[in-house]
Amino acid sequence: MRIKNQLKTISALAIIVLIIFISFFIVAANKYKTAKSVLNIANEIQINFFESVSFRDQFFLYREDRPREQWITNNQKLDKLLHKLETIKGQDKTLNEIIYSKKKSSALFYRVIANTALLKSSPPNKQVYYEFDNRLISQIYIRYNEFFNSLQEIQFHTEKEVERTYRNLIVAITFFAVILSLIVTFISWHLNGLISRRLEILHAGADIISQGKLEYRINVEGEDEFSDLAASFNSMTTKLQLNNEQLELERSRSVQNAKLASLGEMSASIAHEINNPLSVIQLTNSRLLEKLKLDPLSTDYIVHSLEKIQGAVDRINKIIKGLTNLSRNAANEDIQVFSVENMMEQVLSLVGQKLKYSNVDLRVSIPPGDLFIESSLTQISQVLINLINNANDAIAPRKDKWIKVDFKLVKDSSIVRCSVTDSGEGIPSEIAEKIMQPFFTTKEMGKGTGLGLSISKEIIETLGGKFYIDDESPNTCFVFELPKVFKR
Amino acid sequence: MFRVFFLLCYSLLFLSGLFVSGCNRPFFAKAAPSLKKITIAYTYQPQCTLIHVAKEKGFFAEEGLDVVPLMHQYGKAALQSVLEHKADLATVAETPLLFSILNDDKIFIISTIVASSKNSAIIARKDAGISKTFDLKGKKIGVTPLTTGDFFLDSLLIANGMTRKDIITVSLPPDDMEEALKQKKIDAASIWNYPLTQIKHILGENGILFFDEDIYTETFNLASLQDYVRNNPAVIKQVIKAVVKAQEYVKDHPKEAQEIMSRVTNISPDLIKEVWDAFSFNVTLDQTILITLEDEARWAIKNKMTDKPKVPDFGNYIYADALKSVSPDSYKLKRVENEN
Repeated sequence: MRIKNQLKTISALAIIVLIIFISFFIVAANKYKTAKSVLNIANEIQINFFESVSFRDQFFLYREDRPREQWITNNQKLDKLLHKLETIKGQDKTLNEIIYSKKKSSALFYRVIANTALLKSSPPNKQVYYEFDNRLISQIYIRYNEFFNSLQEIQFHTEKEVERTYRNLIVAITFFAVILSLIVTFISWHLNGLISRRLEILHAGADIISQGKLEYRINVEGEDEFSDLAASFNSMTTKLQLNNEQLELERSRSVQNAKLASLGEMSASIAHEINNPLSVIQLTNSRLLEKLKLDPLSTDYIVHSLEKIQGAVDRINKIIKGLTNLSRNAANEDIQVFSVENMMEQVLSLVGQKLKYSNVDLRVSIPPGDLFIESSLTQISQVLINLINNANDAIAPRKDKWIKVDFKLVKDSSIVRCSVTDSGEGIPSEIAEKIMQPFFTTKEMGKGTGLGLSISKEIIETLGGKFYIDDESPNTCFVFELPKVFKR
Repeated sequence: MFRVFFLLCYSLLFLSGLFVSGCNRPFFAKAAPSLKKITIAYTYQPQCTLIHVAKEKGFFAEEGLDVVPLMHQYGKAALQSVLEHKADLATVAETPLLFSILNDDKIFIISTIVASSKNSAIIARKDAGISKTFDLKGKKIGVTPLTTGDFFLDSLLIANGMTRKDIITVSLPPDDMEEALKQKKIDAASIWNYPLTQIKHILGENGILFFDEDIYTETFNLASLQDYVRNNPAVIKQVIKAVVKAQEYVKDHPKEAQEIMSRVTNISPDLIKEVWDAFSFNVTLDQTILITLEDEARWAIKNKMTDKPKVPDFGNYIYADALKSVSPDSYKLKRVENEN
C-alpha cells in the first residue's frame, strides 16, 4: 500500500476515533453540566426555603395582619426555581412530588387564610374553625415534609449523578488521552518502521554506490514510494554505470590519441634532429662532388669532408639508436634499473636540438656519481620529454629562457625527486586546479591535446609516485617523486 | 448507549487490574437457610399491596422468611390479632394504632408502607337529599369507630363548619356499609377503598362522593408488639428488606403489581387500577405518621374517646432500627416544632 494512502487511512481512522471520543466527551460534559445545574437549583431551594426557615415561617404569616406580599413574592420565586428545575430535569417522579407538595401547600395556605378570616369574624362555632385550622396546619406540615424529603432525595441523587458524570468525564478525558497517545505511538512506530526497514536500505545502498560500486542494486520490496525511489535509484545507477563505461572508453581513446599526437610531436622533433645532420651530409657531399669535377682535391680536404659526413651519420645513428631504445622499451613496458644520466642523454637527443633552436638554456642537475632508479625508463623519459616540451612552449615568448631539470634523493634516499622548472612565473591558482584534468590546455587551438599532464600524472601514479605543481617555487615548477626501487 | 460506553470503559480500565491482582476468588454458592416462620396479619385492601407483592414474588422467602398470612377485612382487625398474639406483625392505619397506644398497648410502628390523602371519602345517597357537604347535617352516617373513616368524617365535618352533633353516626363494620346504604339504613358512609369505590359503582347516579385531600393524610403501617420486635430484630429487618424489594418492584412494574393484587384478592383489575393512583407506596418513616397521630390524639382527647389527658410522645412507639439499617434514606423522621 502506498505510504501516502497509509497515512491518509491512519489519519482518517484517527479523525473518526477522535470524533467518536469527542462526541462522548461532549455528552459527558453536558450530563455533568445538567446534573450540576440541578444540584445548584436544589441547593438554592434548600438554602432559601428551608435552611433560612423563611419557607416554614411563610406559612404562619397568616396569623399576622401584616401584608402577605412577601409570601407571594417568595412563592413566585420558588415557582420559578421549580420551573427551571423542571426544564432542565424533564419529567421526573420526585420532582413531580415536589411540585405537587408545593401546590398542595399553597392551596392549604389559602384555605388557612380563608379560615382565619372566618375565625376573625367570631362565628358561633368558633371552636370548629379553630380545630379546622389545626388540621390544616398539620397537613401543611405533612406537605412541607414531603417537599423537603423529595428535595433531599433529588439532592442526594443529583449529588451522586454529579459524581458519576464527573467520573465519566474523567474517564472520557483519560480514554481520549490514551487513544491519542496510542494513535501518536502507532504513527511513530509505523514511521519508525518505514525508516528503519526501508529508508535505511536505501541509505545503505546509496553508501555502497557512492563508493563506486555501480553494479550494486538496491532491493526494496513492495509497491510504496520507497520501492519507487529504489527503482529510480537503480535506474540512475544503471545509466551512471553505462555512462561511466562510455567515459572510460572515451578516455582510453583520448589517451591513445594523445599518445599519437605526442608521437607526432616527437616525430617532428626527430625529423628536425635528423634533418640537420642530413643537411650537413648533403651540403658536404655536394661541395665535394663539385670540387672533384673541377680540380683534384687534396686528400686532407677529402678526409675532412668524409669525416664531416661521418660525424653527421654518427649523429643520425645516435638519434635512431635512442629512438629505437625508446620504442623498444615502451613496447615492453619493462621495469629496469637505469642510469638517470643515460636517460637524460637519450631525452636530450630527442629534445636538445629543439631547445637549441629556441635559445633555451637547459640545465640538468644529477647527484654526483649518477643516480640509478628501478622503474620504467620509457615512461619516465616520456614524462620528461612532455614536461620539457611544455616548458619550452610556455617560455617561448619570454626573453630569458631556461629550463632546469633537477634530480634529488629525498626521504632517506628512498625517493627520487625530479623537478622540471622553467623561467615562467608560475601557474595561476585558478588554472593550477584544472591543469591536471584531461583535455585542459592553455595552448593555442591545434597545438596541444590537453592530455600531456594528465597522462604524465597517471604514469607517475601508476609507477607508485606522486605528480604535482610546486606552489612554493617562484617559477613554474612541476615535480614528480618516485620510489628509488619500484614496489611490485 | 452512553452508559454502555462507560461500562465498557470501566470494564477495560479495571479488567487489567483484576488480572494483575490475580483476582481469582471462587464464587461460593450460598447454602439455602431454613425459612423463619412469621405470621403477618394483613388485609385485601390496596394499602397492603407491598405485602401481597413481597409474598407473591418470593421476596420474603429470599430473605429467609416463611410468611403465614392472617387475612382480615381491615387494619384494625389485623392489629387486634397481633395484640391477641395471633400474629407477629400487622398492617394497619394510624388510627387503630393511636387508640392502641392510648390504650397503653406496647406496640411498635416499624414502618409506614403507604400514604394517601385520597383514600377516604364519604359516599352519600342523593335520594336522601344530599347533594352538597352541608346536606349531611342531620343525616345518618355510617362509620366504623376508631378507624380512619371515623377521623376522616370528623375532619370533613369541621372543614365544613359542622361537628358530630350535627349528624347521626351509625357504627358499622366496613363490610356492612354497602348493605346499610342499599337498605337506606344510613344516608351516607365514611369509608375507604375498596368498599368506597365499590359502593360508588353500586349507587351509580344515586351516589355522591365527598372527599377533601387537604384535610387528612392516611398512613398504613407495619406494626408489632414491642416484645416481639425486641426479641426478633433480625426478623423485622428481613421483613423490611422484603417490603423494600416489593416497593422497588411496584415502582418499576405497576401493571404486574396490579395483576398480582387482582389475583390474590379476587378483586377486579379495573377496580384496582381505578384506585391505584390514590396511593403512594413508599416504605418510610417520616413526619406524616407523627403529625397524623398527634392530630388524631388531640381529636380523641377532645372527643373523650380516651381517658388520656395529653398527647403521648409517639416517638416512643417508633422502631426505626430496621429501616435505618436496610434503607437509611427512607428514614426521614425529625421533630418539627408545632407552633400551634
